Amino acid sequence: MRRAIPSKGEGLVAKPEWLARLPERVFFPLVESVNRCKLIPLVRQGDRVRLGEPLAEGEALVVHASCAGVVESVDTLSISVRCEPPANHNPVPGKAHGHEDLADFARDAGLVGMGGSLFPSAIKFKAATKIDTLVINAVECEPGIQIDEALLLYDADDVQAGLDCLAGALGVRRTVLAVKRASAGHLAPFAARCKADVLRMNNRYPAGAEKLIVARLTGRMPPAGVLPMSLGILVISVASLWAIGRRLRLGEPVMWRPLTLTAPEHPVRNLIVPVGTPLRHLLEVYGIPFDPQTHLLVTGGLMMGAQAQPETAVTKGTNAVFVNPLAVRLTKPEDPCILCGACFDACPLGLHPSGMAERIKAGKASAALSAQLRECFLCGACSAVCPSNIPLAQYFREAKAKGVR
Amino acid sequence: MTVPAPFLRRRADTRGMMLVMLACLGVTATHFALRYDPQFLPRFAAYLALGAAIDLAYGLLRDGRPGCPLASTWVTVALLVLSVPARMPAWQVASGIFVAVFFGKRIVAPGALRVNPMLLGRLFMMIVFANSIQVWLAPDAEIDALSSATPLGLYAAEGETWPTLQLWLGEIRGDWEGIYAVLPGSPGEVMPLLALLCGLVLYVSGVSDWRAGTTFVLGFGAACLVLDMPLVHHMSAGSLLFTAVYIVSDPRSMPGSKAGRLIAGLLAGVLNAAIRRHGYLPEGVVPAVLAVNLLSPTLDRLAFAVRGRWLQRRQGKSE
Repeated sequence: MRRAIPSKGEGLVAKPEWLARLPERVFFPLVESVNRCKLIPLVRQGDRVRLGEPLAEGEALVVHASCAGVVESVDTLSISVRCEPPANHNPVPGKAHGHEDLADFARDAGLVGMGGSLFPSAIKFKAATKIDTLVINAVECEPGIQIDEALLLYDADDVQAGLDCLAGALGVRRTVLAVKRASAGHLAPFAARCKADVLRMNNRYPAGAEKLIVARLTGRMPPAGVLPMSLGILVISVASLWAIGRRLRLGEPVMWRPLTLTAPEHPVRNLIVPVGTPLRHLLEVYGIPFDPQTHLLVTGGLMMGAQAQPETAVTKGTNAVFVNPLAVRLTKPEDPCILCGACFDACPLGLHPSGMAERIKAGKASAALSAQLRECFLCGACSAVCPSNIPLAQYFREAKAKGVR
Repeated sequence: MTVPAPFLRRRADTRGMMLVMLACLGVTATHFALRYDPQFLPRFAAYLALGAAIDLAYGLLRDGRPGCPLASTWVTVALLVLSVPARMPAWQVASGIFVAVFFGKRIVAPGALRVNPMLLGRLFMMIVFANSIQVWLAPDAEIDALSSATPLGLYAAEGETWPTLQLWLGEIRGDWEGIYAVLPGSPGEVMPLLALLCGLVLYVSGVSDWRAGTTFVLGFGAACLVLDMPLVHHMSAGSLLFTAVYIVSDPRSMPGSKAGRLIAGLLAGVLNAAIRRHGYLPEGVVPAVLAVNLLSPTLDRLAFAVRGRWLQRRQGKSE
């Protein structure tokens, strides 16, 4: 009843629509999977590229052009392509027969964790040797995001094709569809179609966190640092399955990004957008006003996303774009903690957020503090409920980065 | 300007929480004024104004310009005024308010000592004005009786209880065998049902936590049974529910952690019952809760360490 962050969106789930107008330019960052995979450009300035043509490649990942056009610039950080309308798409259907093929398939398709992690799937699949349960994470607990649900409702064929391929290649014994309790009803037909068990998670943020799904599935909270994979569980997002399905059925590499676009006084839209589209273009196409004084542009979700600029480009992990009108409130200075206990109630892991922040501020390192910090996955529920505006999650993020041990 | 995640805020700020609390206390004061003593409402307002004035003066002394009155100061003042006799001499109440706000709220509370400022003020009044804080003048006393007493006082003196339903509804008037005129107690405690309803409002609106209040009542009840006290009477008479709803649930003076709150509430409840049974005071809230307040930082530290130890052991197993 109190101090919870409901994750149920309002109203019906909108059908995903293709972006009405192509952007003028698309941008591909070459630091997409920082420290994990170095990307080397395959094109030079002035080259003419076709839709879906590789632009850059790395050990575990290929980046493809999401529109046909001319390469405008190539530097160490990004490639930009000026788009030309006629899309002469040259599909190359891919296949994955068994586990050996899977990593190469994922690399050539340019597949990354599309739930937002951007982790190259090739690495993940290569490590996934003994998987008996495949979990489709359709919980989408971040408030206001509904794109996964939209894909499952309106584009189920692609998702199912991806699921069948992956489940077959990994040789899993059980498939599980993790959903919010509130959406369990209308996603049940999809689960029945794929012969997947339905795992009902609660309607509160952060029910969709991998850790909590695994805890619900196995009945035991996995300790910090334990990957679901070591428990025989592989968790994959709906958008990744959708992308695999499109690769299989249409031969497309990962060049479209399904996302939810939310702005005040505008209907919630589910869009399929070329990867690399600048956010400014999305706002222009749908006539959404944006004032940097009072609004914040946020990608990836209100709870764990990041602030973006209008020039920021959509990446393969951008599952949502928000125009957030709370700029004034979000920049308010922090008040003293009154120990109201809201953060204790909000923490999904039962940690002591105010106690942790107090110790971090005082520079008091202890074994108890680092044990709690290790567990924290920065969901930000504590910051969101704090009546004193204390940026608790930010303290924990900094402390983790500094390695308070 | 870079804003870190999350970009969502769920609740009202601290000030908003205090205003909901103040609204509940305002309803309680109005209820007392309408049913027992119409003069109480202007006094209540004047005391609130006094609290604000002390805040302004504190700002002047510290920063050289008037400070903005805190919403929580009003809550402290309202709680204090609602927990002493309505007809207590104004200068005595005023000095209690001064101690609670200037000393308790402004000087002690920001420091490491986490005690409830309102209880500090009341403790001062109990020591300095020991007589008048126990004299429950009847606003409309027309009964010829030797003395007067609240239901709790009547029980302490004669071992007699008052009908439970009447206690819950606040219908406390009349006399006991021609010896005592039975009077309502302090304005906050006369109708436990109202306190309970306000508690529900505070919980539903997300202002206060259920834990400490609940274990306070449970601990009190359990101790009543063990100490052979009439449970129902003690639950209905006096300020038990008022304390559970407004005082034990005070965030700053009680532990912040969930386990700490449960334990602190329980301790306060047991201690309160023990004081009622064996102590000099018929009520015993002030010393019981103040004693537990002193334990709050320790309980929080313990809860943090225990949680950390438990996680550490679990993490160790997985490595």
